[in-house]
Amino acid sequence: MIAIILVTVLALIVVVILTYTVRHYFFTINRMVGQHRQPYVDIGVAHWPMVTVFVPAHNEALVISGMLDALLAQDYPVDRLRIVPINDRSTDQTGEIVDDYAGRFPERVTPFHRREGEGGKAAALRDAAPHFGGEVHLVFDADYLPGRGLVKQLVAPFFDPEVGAVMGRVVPHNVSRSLLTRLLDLERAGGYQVDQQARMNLRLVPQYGGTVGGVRRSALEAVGGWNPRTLAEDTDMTYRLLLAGWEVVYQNRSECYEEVPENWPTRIRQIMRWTTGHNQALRSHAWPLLKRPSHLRRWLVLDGLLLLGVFAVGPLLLLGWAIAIALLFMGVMPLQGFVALLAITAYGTLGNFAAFFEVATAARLDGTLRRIRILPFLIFGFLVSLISVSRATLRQVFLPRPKEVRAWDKTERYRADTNGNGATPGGAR
Amino acid sequence: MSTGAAFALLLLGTVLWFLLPLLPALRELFKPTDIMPLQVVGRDAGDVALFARGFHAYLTRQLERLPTDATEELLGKLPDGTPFVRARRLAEPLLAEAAREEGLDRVVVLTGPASLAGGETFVREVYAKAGLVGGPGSIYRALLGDAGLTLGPNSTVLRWVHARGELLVGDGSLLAGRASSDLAIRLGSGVTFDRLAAPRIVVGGGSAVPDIAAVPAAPLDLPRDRAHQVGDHVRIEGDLVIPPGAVVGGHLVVTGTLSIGPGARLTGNVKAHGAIEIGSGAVLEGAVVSRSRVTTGLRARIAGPLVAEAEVSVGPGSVIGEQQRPTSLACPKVVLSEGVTVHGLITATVGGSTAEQVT
Repeated sequence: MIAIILVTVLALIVVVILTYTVRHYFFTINRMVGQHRQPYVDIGVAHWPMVTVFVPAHNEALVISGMLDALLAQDYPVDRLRIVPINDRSTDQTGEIVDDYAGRFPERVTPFHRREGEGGKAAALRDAAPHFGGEVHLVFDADYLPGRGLVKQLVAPFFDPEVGAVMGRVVPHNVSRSLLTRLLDLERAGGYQVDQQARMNLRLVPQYGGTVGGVRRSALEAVGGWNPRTLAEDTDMTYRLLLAGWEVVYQNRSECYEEVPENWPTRIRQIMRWTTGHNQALRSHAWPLLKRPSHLRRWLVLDGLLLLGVFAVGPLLLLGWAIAIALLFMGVMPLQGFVALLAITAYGTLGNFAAFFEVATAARLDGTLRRIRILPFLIFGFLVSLISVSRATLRQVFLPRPKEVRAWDKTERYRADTNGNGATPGGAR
Repeated sequence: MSTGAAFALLLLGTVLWFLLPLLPALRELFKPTDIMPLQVVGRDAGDVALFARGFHAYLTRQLERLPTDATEELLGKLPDGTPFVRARRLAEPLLAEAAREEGLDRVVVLTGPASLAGGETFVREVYAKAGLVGGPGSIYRALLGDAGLTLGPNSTVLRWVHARGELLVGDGSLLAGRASSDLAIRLGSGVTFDRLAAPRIVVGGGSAVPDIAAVPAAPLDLPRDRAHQVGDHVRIEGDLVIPPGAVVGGHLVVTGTLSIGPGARLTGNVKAHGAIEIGSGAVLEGAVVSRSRVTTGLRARIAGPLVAEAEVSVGPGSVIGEQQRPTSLACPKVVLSEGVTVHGLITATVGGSTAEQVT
């Protein structure tokens, strides 16, 4: 009886893993041969709407100047762009820095100081957003370095009345710092250049990622504003918009530099935070999605579910390995003979390398062929992710906390030079 | 050989065998050759005149180091070694060289008003400081004019052309790459293009476009069983036909095809998952977006932007954008009819063209 249960569970896990494998290949092949869909990126001239750019910042004194300089240098009508750094209970110099900018650019920079309340980006945005107008609310993390045309590019899709949120591409800037940063550079390339863009091409579910993107204010209000009770307000927003009838758009050519973690402990914390938040979204939105509102196509629902479950795959894989070993020692062989040989060979040849294939394709599309050479080391990143995701999921399942989000879990910053950035040489002072 | 040594040798061989395919990875790890951030952020793809400005800056730097007397012909090399000629007008030997199939392999700087007979090939950039009138069938790599530029019939521009004055493009010409003007672009018949940018882009003279009769305004009842409010827009499930003269307020999303009758007026942004057909004289005061194609009739007006994922066909006399509010027309395939005016930017990633018959 136990053996039958284990074999059944293992079979289900194999089906899930195979589904994700096929998904990887499908997306990758789409990016290799499919039509590249980026309908709004060529809107370069228009009567641009009012935009508010929020920069949530909790102890970001190291990087906030670079971000504000880059925003002040944007190629966007000055009278239609409001920059709102949200100083969220910082204990470093962040508050003084943003006040200094507000003093020098009173018509353009309006800081929002939060001195109390729960922590986290979503809570900061929830409190700040209602105080500011504009048809579009863009959000950037404080360590990002947007090029001067980025705000226009991110606003352009909102001329489409159905678009509720827009996401640009995140590109690591500190690539050369360590093996980890190089691996993250490859991972990001795969995630955006292939995964996100394929979902855009196929009209599936591109994900709003919480930074280098934004939402339509009327859509935000229609779905009830930012949700501070989640660690992944971006995923949560994506699904709330989707379920309410809005479209989320990804623009691969709207690139923005970011700092990625330079050491493994920081990276592990980041993965665990993302896992927790993503699983919260899975819990909240899987069932409403399964009920399939009439405006959602079946393929879109399937992709939405697979995207929601992406962080659940790690623990499932570990469970599958454990069951397979247990069955081996129990003397149970679910597959035998030629079929077993064929399955193992096929998966060993193709399945194991689906994610690697995706990353290599991204590097090829980016024209950075030589960095593909370090691809084999991605196995370390994969193992660390597997364990971190599983730990976070298990902790979430077995140790539910009554109040899941109440503090900033910040990613460490590394930048030494705070005087402007490559996008705005010398700053805009 | 002892068993231990044999085992050690086997182990060593196995490890080496395992490491062999990892050699490129190990080499890249310890001797990196590709660790710079992707050079993608900050590029200004939206600026059509970017290359022209870059060339002007380059040439200014180069010419600064040469004698300044512009009345004499100066034939030689720029400080960076690029062959060039600077003259008020091209001398006969150089014109003969340009008339050959291989073309004139020099950067050409014309300091006086110039006109060409036609059939020339310029392998490098041409910079006309005081206006240029080209003849038929000429081929230019790239062309910059401080005043007006005229391209003769069946001319070809391979990279970019920018005029600080008006840019006139002869019938049957090919504008590969970017074409822009600080004043206006006037296109003849059968012109093909990729990207155009100017305060006014006009096709032909427009004299052959017939007038249309005014349509009285009429109310519109949206189909309530298929319409529901989503945030600030109304979503219509299925197709929608807006009758002639109807006035529709607010943003609209149609999941099927959208047919807008002649003389209708829509005040918000409009999107259809299917094709959009815009009747003659219709006025759309916002953006128009289609996942398929957009076709307009005579003298339609669209404030823009106008975006379609398959094809846009703009009918005779129609106007996209306004002089004070330029806009964008973005679509893989664009067809412009006689008398069309676009204020702003046209991007046709697969190809754009003007009608074969224009005045």
